Amino acid sequence: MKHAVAVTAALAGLCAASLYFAEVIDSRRAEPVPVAVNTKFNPAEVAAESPAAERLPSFRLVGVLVQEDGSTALLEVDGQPARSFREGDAITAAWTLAKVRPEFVTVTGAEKSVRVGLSGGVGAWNKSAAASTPAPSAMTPMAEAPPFVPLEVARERNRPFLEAINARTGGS
Amino acid sequence: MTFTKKILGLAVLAGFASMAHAVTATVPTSFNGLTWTFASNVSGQTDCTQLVLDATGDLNQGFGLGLHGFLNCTSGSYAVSGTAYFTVTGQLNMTMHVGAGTIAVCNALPSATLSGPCSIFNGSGATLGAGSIAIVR
Repeated sequence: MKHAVAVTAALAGLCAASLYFAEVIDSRRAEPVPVAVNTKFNPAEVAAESPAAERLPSFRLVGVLVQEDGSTALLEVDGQPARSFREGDAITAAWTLAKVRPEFVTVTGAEKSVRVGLSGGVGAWNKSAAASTPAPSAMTPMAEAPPFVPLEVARERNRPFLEAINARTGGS
Repeated sequence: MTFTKKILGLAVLAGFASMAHAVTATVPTSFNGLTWTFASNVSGQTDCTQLVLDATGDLNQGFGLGLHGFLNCTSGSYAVSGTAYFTVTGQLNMTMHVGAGTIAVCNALPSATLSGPCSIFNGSGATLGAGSIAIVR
């Protein structure tokens, strides 16, 4: 009988202790955890203000044509095939082709400008090219064009040629 | 005709026959419908985006290729003909007549990419602008 009373008392003590510690842990959870706040740099805010479009793409200037009636530049953007842009054209949502010069172009974004030099490309300083060398009359495409080759078909057709070149040059 | 003359004639014929062996005739290979993406800032070509060529040559014995095809534009296409050759360092030099009066020269294209910039001239050699080609992979 004495033994049963002792066991009951021990169980009651254990329950009381577990209830006490559960209370303590719960109250600590509810306490706000102090966090160091840097008011000068909040990444979340910066991310909200600078969308991904502000990222500076990689530009490669392939060629320029400087003319009085509108200069153009051929630019590869992020490794994509080159496209022709006129001065003032938007290259991406955030970047505009601001200036075209014989040796370089200037691309401007919301906060900064970037100068992209002509590396291994082609520059032409034809101030009056349009006037002195008008496009020949024959430079009007034929009326009936063959269909554009779908990229999948092009890849298939190019493969043997690329393999032959690879074999010839040893993959260099 | 004396016997000696006959012998000499046969010897000459045999000589020609042996010389004929010095000429190696090979069969060129044609690669049809090779396709590059194309871009240019030259008036009349700004909407042209695809260069499709048949290239013919012997890549095992020779260096040169004959090129025939067309430049595809949204408003039509230009006929293209030209030549290309591989340099000793394995780079490809291409010269193409595009339509009438325009010449595209794409030099030193690395064999690994077969892509790069081009200069575009008129028939007088004046630069009209720049272009770029990239082979479709």
